[in-house]
Amino acid sequence: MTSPLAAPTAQPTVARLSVHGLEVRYGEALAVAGVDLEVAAGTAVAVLGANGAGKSSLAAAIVGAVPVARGRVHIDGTDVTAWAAHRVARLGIAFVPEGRGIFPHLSVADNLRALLRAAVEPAERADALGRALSTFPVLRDRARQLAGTLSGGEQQMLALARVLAAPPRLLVADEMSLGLAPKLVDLVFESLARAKAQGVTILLVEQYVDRALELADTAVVLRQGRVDWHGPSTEAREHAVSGYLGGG
Amino acid sequence: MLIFLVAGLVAGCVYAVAAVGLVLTYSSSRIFNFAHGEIAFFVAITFHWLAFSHGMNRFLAGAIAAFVVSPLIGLGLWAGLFRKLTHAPPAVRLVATVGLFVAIGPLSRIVFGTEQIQDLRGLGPYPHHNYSWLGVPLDSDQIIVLVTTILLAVALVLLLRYTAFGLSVRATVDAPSLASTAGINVAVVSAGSWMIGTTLAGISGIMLAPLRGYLDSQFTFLILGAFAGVVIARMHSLPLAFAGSLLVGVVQNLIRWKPIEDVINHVVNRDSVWVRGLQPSLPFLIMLAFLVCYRGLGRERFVVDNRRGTEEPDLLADAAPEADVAAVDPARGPSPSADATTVGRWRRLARTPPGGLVFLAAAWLFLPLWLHGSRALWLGLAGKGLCVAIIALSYTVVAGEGGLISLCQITFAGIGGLLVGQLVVNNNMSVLAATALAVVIVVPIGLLAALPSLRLGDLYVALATLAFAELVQNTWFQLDGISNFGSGVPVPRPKIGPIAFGGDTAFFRLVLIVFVLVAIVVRNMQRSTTGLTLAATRSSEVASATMGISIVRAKLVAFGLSAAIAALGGAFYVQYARVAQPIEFLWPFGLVWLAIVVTWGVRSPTAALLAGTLYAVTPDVFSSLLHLQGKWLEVPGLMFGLGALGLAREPRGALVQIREGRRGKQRRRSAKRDQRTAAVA
Amino acid sequence: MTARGLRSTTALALVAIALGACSNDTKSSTTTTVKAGTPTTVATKIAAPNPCVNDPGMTASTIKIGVIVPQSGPGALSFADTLGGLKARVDEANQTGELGSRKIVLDVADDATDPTRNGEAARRLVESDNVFSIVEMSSAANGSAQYLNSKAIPVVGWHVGLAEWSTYTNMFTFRQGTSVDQAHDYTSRNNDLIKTLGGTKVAAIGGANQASATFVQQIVKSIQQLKQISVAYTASDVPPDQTDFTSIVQRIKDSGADALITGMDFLQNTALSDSLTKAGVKLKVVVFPGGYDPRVLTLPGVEGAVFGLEFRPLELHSPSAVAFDKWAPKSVVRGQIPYVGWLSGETLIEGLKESGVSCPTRKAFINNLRLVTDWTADGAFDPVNLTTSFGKQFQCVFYVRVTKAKFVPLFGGKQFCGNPLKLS
Repeated sequence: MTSPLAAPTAQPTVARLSVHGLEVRYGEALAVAGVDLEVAAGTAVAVLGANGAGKSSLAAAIVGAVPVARGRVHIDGTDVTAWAAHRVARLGIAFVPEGRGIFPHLSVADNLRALLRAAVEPAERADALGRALSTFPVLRDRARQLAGTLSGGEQQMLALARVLAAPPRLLVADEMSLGLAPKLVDLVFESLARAKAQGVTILLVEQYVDRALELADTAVVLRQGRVDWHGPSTEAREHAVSGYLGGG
Repeated sequence: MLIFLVAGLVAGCVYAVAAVGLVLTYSSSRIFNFAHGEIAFFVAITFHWLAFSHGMNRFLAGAIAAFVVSPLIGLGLWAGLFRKLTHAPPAVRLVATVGLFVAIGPLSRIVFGTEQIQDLRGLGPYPHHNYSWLGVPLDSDQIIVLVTTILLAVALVLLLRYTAFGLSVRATVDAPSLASTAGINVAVVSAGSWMIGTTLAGISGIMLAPLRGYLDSQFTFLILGAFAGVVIARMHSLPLAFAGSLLVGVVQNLIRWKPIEDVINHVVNRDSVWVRGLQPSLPFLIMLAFLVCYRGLGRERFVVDNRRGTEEPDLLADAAPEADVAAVDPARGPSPSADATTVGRWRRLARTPPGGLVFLAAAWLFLPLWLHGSRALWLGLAGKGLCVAIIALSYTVVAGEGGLISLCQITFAGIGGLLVGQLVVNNNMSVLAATALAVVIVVPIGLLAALPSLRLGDLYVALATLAFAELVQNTWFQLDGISNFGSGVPVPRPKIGPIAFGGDTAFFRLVLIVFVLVAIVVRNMQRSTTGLTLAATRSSEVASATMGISIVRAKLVAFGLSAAIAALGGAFYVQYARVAQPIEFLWPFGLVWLAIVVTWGVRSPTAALLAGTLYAVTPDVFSSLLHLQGKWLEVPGLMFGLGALGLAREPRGALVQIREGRRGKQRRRSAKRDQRTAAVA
Repeated sequence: MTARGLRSTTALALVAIALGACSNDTKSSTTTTVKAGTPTTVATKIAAPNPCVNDPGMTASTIKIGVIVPQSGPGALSFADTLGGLKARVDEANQTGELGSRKIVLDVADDATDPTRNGEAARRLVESDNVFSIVEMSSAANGSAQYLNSKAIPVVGWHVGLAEWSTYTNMFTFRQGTSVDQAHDYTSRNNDLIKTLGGTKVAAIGGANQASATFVQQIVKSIQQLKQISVAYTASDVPPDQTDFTSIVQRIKDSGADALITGMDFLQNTALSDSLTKAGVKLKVVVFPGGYDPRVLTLPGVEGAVFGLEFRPLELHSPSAVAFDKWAPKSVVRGQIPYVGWLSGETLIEGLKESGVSCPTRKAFINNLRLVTDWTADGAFDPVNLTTSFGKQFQCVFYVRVTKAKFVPLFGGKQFCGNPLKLS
């Protein structure tokens, strides 16, 4: 039994994601009803759709946070479908869940330590923490403050700092820009662009269609748990908007 | 005054060790270890046995008991039980530890015998050395407690704050699903914290036994004293748990300080049983005060964070209805329901109320004919079983419907029964009239017991109802007229006009009818608006949050009804026994009943009937049918406790497991049939 | 004592009489019903029938005796050891042929200190196993008292403070029980004892339960009524789990008490006494109500304490004590609990003998044993008149004091008696 905090061994810095026939159930209800998805290494895909279309469930299922009822998830050829979330995380997969992925009662510094542990070798952890705190000055200022007392934007910076300080192989981000002021939304997408430039494969669940499509190479539109349309992000806009009202 | 303060701090440290262990275990593994004190006791007598019956060096024995035996116990319990309950709701986990609580006493008597350990030897010198500090006498055993408590507290703080494991624990406590996706193996962390919890229990047992004696009752009380600290800590803050426990110790001692005692004497009569009962009840009064005052004590924080994917197996869920369980096989789709067959139809009939009624009617008619003469005693026991079954139905209502783990149902039964005794003897009422009146009187008492904790989580309800039970036991049960110097109050068998129900047969038949009537009331309640409201609450936390006031009302109805049913059962119980005595209605017995009911399924009146019958009949089966003596007589108690551990396999109870096991067989059989048909086609 | 309590107790006696008069549960038995509350009116012994008519449980070669004692549950710790003493006495009787051609066979049942189960055990022993008589050594004996009385079954054993032993004339505690009106019929003995041993200001401490609190209240009232010594401090609300007595000790110290009498659980009593010593409080008298057992001699807080016994201390080697030591296996502790079992056995054998060894009957047992006027249980205590002592509070107790880790009998080994005292 490996220690709960074992850092992963050296790995390539990019990951290919394949999803086949994924189904996610909550009791009798089918949240994701058979989704196929391919994300080439180093690229970004935007997952769009109305509320309840299954986007968040898809994201959670890919990283192992919710069980998969049927179908397969492969990361670089490894079948991770039945893996527990912590095992997937140690492959170098980062997950920013809906509603801010932070530990509210831990300090900013402890948050980063916890989030970085699985991503970084023991010897490099101190450096990674330093880098993370430096990414956004406000984090360094508030390093000892409880993360739950930060504003929404600052909390999101925490998650971004972790991604930037120790780029994962695959980042799955669920509605990172939700509830943020425009300036902060810019910050989020700039950071994501930086991450992409460093070679991180990104799966982005978003409501901000335009910004998401700017960043992403491909897009997938979900409707009622199924793929309504998929293709290059340049062609996605009309499909995304027709898929639901009030987007953008 | 300093002496009273320091005495309070020493006493508080004793509670603090338990409180800290409970809070740590709960917040990190989400298990409230009701059996914490029992584990402490078991490790303590293991240590004594190793060190003083087997001549092992006592420090070595202590180290083995604390750092080998205790973690192993934790590991064993985790692997065998709690691992499978990680996604179960808190109610299930709580009842599992209640089962442990029930089982460990008998187990320790089986393993170590019934000979009481008379000495107080421990790790320290024996006889203990006496010292004095600031004028306060302290002996070596007390110093060991103080020093160990402080060391443990410091060690825990260091562990949590500065180690990797500690960080994982804190992260898991704060947001388990996020911790999981951040690479933390939450299961291992929980297991580790649980093992730390049992180790803390073991260490506290070894330290405390020289102070309190090697008696399991002492350790049961230990955990009660820790409840206040646990509540003050809001289940997650170790420093508050520590401080809260010290507060309890200090208050308990300060009220003996003359100036304060004089003030109290001025206001109330010290000899009154209500005031006498205050001292032992202080931890609970403090706990209740904090419960009421604290706002924002919502449901456990985990629930808010957890985005649970599938429907977790729920103690309180319905067994899936017949048709749907011919389950959806992913590859093949629904298979033909086995109930289309004749056999299936018969089976269904046997399970539904009409079918159950047929069985009960047969029992009503024929059981007395079979159990007569020298076997009449068994008919008497069947009558007792029915009385307990009625009380068990109260669990079906409050826990099965209301989703509340109430630990004071037996207290309501006791109030009902004891009231009947008083009314019959003091007011010359007939037994049945007294029963009716007692049931009515208990309802507002039940509502009162429920109120402080109703909006809070399951765990707080359990603690608050236990506090209520202790309060009643320490005060009303101790009244001279109630307890009557240990003899209780005589209660005659019921009489309606010329018909007397004194004999085994008449009494059995009467109580069986009462049970059936109550079971029908319970069934109707399950299908009423209240029942449906409660069902909705049980299956969706979010829904409950949005439905607001009607939820509280529905739960109050459930609680009030369950109190009435319990009182009714208690009333018949004292008629069975022909005496009303408080000693029969102490809350540890109630835990045994809860464990048995939950083992079989807390949503089913059938389970209540089984629970009552088994409780009444098993001890006699062991002693008179199987002619077992001595240690073997502890086995029924052990079995009742261990039965609750079966929850690990099926939280909805054994009846559901049996039913679904049969359906599984039917499915497999029909699947095979289909295969054969397909092969032929 | 509240009026309510008095009503209950009187009512209890009355109901007991009423219930005793009509048994309607199972098939009525062959023997006469026994009225409770009054000694048997037959002043002469009943002779053994000739030829012998076997009562239930009797054959030509055996007599089956039922025993109810807690063997499981937490109460087992307090009572289970009585069995060792009882078995030893029965062994002696069987092996020395005290009962002529018959040997006693014991049928032991467990009641787990639960009165309901006690009643069930009694029913099983009487109706299923057909025992001749019953030995009860349990604090839950009240659960079967009325039933056994209605079936006129002889019962011997240990009263443990239950009023039933003083209410039903078919019940014989090995020496003497308590009064029926425990709230009012008391004794001056505790007051006299403390006074005799030199105490003048008494601290009386009890636990927060009815039995213990009543114990303290009665002592306090008796002292206040007799006005010979005074009560310096009293507390009857000690929680059962409290073993740190610093606060109470401080109050006792401040009160100037020089005598202590405690009615808590045994370990608590010793812890309190020990705390007093640690705090430098010099007490002339420390009285514990029970716990006479050689294994406690080395506990802290026991040195100097006075223990009360219902029998002559084993240290005095009465004929009974000598026989007990001879016949009890080495594993049986020479202390109060097993010896009480022995004494219960002694009473049983006496009852069988009194009813006629050639053919004991239940009726003769109950009637004739009650007529014994000089019962000593083979020298275990001073003579007791079983007719006149019935229903009255016992006044005499033997006391030992722990001196240098040994039990030393007080008052020259003689029993110490008080006088009946009516508490207001």
